Amino acid sequence: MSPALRIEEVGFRVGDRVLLDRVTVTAQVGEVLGIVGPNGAGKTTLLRIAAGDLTPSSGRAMINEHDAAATTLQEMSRLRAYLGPQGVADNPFTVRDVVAMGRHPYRRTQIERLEHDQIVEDSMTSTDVAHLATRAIASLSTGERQRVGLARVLAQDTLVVLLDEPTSALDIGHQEAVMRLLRSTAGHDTAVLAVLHDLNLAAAHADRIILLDDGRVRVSGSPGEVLRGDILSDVYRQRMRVIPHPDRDCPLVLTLDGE
Amino acid sequence: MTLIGLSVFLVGLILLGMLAGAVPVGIDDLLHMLGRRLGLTDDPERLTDSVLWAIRLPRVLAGALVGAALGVTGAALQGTFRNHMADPHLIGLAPAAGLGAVAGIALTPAGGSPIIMMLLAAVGGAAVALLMRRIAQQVVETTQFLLVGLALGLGMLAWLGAIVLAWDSPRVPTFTFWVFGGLSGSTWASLAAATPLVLIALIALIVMARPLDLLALGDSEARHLGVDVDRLVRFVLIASGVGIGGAVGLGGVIGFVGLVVPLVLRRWVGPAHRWLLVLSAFGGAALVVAVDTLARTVAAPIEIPVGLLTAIFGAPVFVWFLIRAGRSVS
Repeated sequence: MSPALRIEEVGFRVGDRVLLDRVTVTAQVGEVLGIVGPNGAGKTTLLRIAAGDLTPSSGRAMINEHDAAATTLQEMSRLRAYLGPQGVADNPFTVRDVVAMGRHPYRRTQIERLEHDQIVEDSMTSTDVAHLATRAIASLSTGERQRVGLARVLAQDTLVVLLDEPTSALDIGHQEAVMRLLRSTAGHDTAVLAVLHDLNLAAAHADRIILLDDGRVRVSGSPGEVLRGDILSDVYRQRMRVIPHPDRDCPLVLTLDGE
Repeated sequence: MTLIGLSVFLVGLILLGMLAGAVPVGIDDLLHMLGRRLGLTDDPERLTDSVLWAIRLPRVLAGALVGAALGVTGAALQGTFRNHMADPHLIGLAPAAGLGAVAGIALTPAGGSPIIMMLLAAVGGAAVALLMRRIAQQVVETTQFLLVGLALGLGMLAWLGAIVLAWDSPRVPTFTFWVFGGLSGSTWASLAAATPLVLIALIALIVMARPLDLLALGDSEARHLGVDVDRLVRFVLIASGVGIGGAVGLGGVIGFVGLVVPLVLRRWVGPAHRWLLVLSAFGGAALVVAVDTLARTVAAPIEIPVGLLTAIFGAPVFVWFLIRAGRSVS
């Protein structure tokens, strides 16, 4: 089976600066892919190229055999959803209104009104914002907004879901809940690509991790293959140690004193 | 249901507006004129017939048309710029349309067509609408954006005044018309020229209601949901300019209607543009018809410019909303 998302040898330059250098990433349906790396490594740029927002200087990003940079906005809206780190910008609508906007790509299809409504309600329930449905966006906390943004993205019901730090404003309980949700989303014929800053969150919940450093893929593979003390210490310029998680079947990353 | 109720209400206001004015007119005169026009009666013509048909009716219809255009473009501009203070008057569209209209008068021979005048007014409105989009992309601060629009508008209004005063021709409406509007000059001919422009704008904007909603999420979010944001914004701004062109060509520069009507209605029907745009058209029409009726009667036989009254009523409402908004943010 061909992968849902295929980023092939993608390069991206702005003037003389190389932001991405021959990056290749593939994601299959059912997978949760974590993208990690220090600030400025090119994580968001990579995500935006996958979304079709940016046209790569070389190489290409394919979603289900559609070139992301050359496909119409309308078609893309049914192939991929994208969530920025701030979740939902300030706007006068209610939570339910905003989540329902995720259904916009399907407004002229055969889908019944009731089915749209059901998808919207389900998305709100799974992101734990159903109790906020009638609240105005302006009255929500940062973390609540992030979950509303996630609900909107889930309502869009796409093959590929692209998330830029979806847990950055969440408490630990909601972080874990969102990661479990991404796992179950992937289970419903979706490939999930998430930029994550928390290495332990990636370790516990991603099927595969891609470690970006200075625009290049430093290493990619299972959490155990990528999260190694020597590599992480070098990439993050921070002494780190990786030990087996005492309770979960995954690595546990610890920071140590010194660079 | 709501639409039927609003339509009945608006027609009622229009009929009421026809009864008011310097020449006393009774309901029976109104019915007489309507009966004769509709061929229902062969009664001999009364003096009031021509007053009602040639002066009053085009005037109140012009008021409704101008109000609808101001209300709907106000709501659309506020959505497009994600700024509830954006208004065709405040951000310079109406003054620009005024300049366009005067250029149109200058370019046509004496007794020339109101069509060219209004088309140029539409071009002026649309041009400044697009310019304000560029400015919105340059300045992030919304207050700054409004101040730029305000300065632009005041500058154009000054040029407009200078041209009108220097030209001093009976062909050009007075300075008051360009600053505070006025519907006293409305004729069937000017109404016929403005109606297509305003109708095009109304339909074009209401059709775009849903994509306009999505714009509230942010440009890139709307794009991710399949909305071609640049095309949408250009379309909405040009349509708004066209609507304002018709409104200004017909009724001059009338402030606060496009600002206050959507502001009040949003509290009632919420932010979704489908209802907001439709109701703003009705609300604007009702407001201008009502205010114009008041303007003709309150100090009769002297006529107060419409825009003077909309400013007198609108300014405190606007200030009240600003203070409330300021409080809820902080």
